[in-house]
Amino acid sequence: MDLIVCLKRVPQTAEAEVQIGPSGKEIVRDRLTFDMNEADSYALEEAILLKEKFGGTITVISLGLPDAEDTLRIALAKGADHAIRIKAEDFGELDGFKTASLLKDALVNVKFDVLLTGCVATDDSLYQVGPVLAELLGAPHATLVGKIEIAGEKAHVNRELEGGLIEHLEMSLPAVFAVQTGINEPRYASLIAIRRAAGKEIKLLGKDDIPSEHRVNSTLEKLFVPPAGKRAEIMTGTADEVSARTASLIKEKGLI
Amino acid sequence: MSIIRLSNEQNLVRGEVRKFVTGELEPIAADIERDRAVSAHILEGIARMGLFGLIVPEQYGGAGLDITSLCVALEELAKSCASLALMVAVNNCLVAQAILKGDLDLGQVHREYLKRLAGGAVCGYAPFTDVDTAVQSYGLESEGDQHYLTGKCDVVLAGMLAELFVVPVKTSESIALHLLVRDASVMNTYPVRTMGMRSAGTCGVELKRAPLAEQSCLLCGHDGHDVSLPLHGTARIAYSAIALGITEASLDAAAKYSKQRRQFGRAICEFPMVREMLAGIKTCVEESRLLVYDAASRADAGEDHGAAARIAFLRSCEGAVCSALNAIQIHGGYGYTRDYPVERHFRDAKSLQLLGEVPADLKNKIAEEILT
Repeated sequence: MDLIVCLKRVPQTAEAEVQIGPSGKEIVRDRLTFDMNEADSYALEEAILLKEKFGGTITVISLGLPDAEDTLRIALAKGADHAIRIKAEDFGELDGFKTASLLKDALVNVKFDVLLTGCVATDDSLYQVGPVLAELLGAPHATLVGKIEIAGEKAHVNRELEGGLIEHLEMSLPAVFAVQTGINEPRYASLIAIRRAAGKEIKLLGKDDIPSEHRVNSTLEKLFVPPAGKRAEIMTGTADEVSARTASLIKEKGLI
Repeated sequence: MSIIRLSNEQNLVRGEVRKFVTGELEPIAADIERDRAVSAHILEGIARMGLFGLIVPEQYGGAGLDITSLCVALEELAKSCASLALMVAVNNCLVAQAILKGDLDLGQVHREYLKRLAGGAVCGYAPFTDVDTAVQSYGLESEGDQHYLTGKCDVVLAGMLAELFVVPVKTSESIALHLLVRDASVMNTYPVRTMGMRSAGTCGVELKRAPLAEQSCLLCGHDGHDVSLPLHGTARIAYSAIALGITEASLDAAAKYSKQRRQFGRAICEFPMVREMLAGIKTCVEESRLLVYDAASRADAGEDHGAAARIAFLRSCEGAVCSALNAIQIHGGYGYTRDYPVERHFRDAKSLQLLGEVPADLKNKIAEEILT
């Protein structure tokens, strides 16, 4: 089984203070750590599990700056066979459509049975690349995938819907799956595998290799932190005064 | 720009170990301390990643990485759990090094031991620095070709969970390091209640006519100094890296708390005295980092690293103890409680300082090197 996994290197912002840079269109990268996008790490693990079950090869691809090669090397250490970096520095501003278009052109000669992406990247939260790439490749796709089973030429997948519902689909291969977090338990790379992966070749694709025109459908105007609202009221005074104010507020809002 | 330049491979090692630490270790660091033991789940994870045999050559099942990579891994582990970092250091720097002795053409028996170690077998090591300590440990009895050990050693690092042990054996002519496999029928291990590094499995080991296997002798010399010398250089660098990790943890905790804690209408990080302490801890971090990675790079280059390792150990341990104390001070009374990690950092740092030679001895040796 031939597998492709699209990976993105993103800033780890869960516990970091994110600051907006002077251009107003990007965040300050200096004090942030970067790592594989969380959902992508589940997509990679799913690919490794499929390879362990059915054999075949895994190609990992990332549209990113040179440090994305660290993410690709960790993927190689975990079990990927080939790695491609599309040089983001050659392609200017990106959006979901342009990213998917570049990935499609880079993968045009790479045969696959299953192509996996994370369902969303934590930095831009677009949810677009998987489905758009599938459409450009002319392959069936499923998003928010929580389970994948392959039987012959068919895939049986579960999609997670709102309200706790699960949608079960039968799809023909090749297909594209945008994987939800929690579908598996991503492994850690062993140190010996990291050592071996450190010297492996990563194929680079720049503007000379992907020459066709790619456009963005949306342009980033600005990033901003929303102004703090004044919805909270800090009540001061004695216990009786605070209680009376609380009771009147509850009545005002029609809560009782 | 820093003069420390880690290779791509070393940076990848740091990233993956850090991910393990934040994902698996950090959420249960307080439980590990309370239970005085590293859980099996964590030990299995560490073993799968290959940390127990990080510097063991690839042909013996290890990751075949260098001392700098080991320091990177220990620094990251120690930020969350210094006890686990110490266990990894013991496996790599004391037990694996004792088996390897710089000799890559090992016999079959030693190869098997190394493979077990690199595969995740926790190893215990009875530290000793002089002849007197070794005298307190095990005696050798011989019956024909079979040799037996009897005696008691009160401090064996990582011994509680160990499958393999390296212990000193004293005879009338020499001191040797022997390797033993855990055997409950001739071995009694009992916990030692330590102040810090509580989860590192430090214990006493009593042996009653424990038979020595073929080729169990790893190193032999006239006195304890002869025997331990080849091991202590890299062990000191490893301990220094653990001290660096503890100092970084103290800095993170102190900075975080000083931003949260408000007094007199503002965060305490705005007070000059708190800022001075934070600056002092940060200086210790950077100073230790330079010393640790300088010593490690010398070891990796095959240069004499004895003096660099001693200086790194001396300063990084002093820095870790002092920084943890200041971190406690910044936390005020809360810093003295187990609700915050800084009191653990202090206890762990102090334990580390007592693992090798005492600071006075280290300073004496550094002075000797200046004067000769």
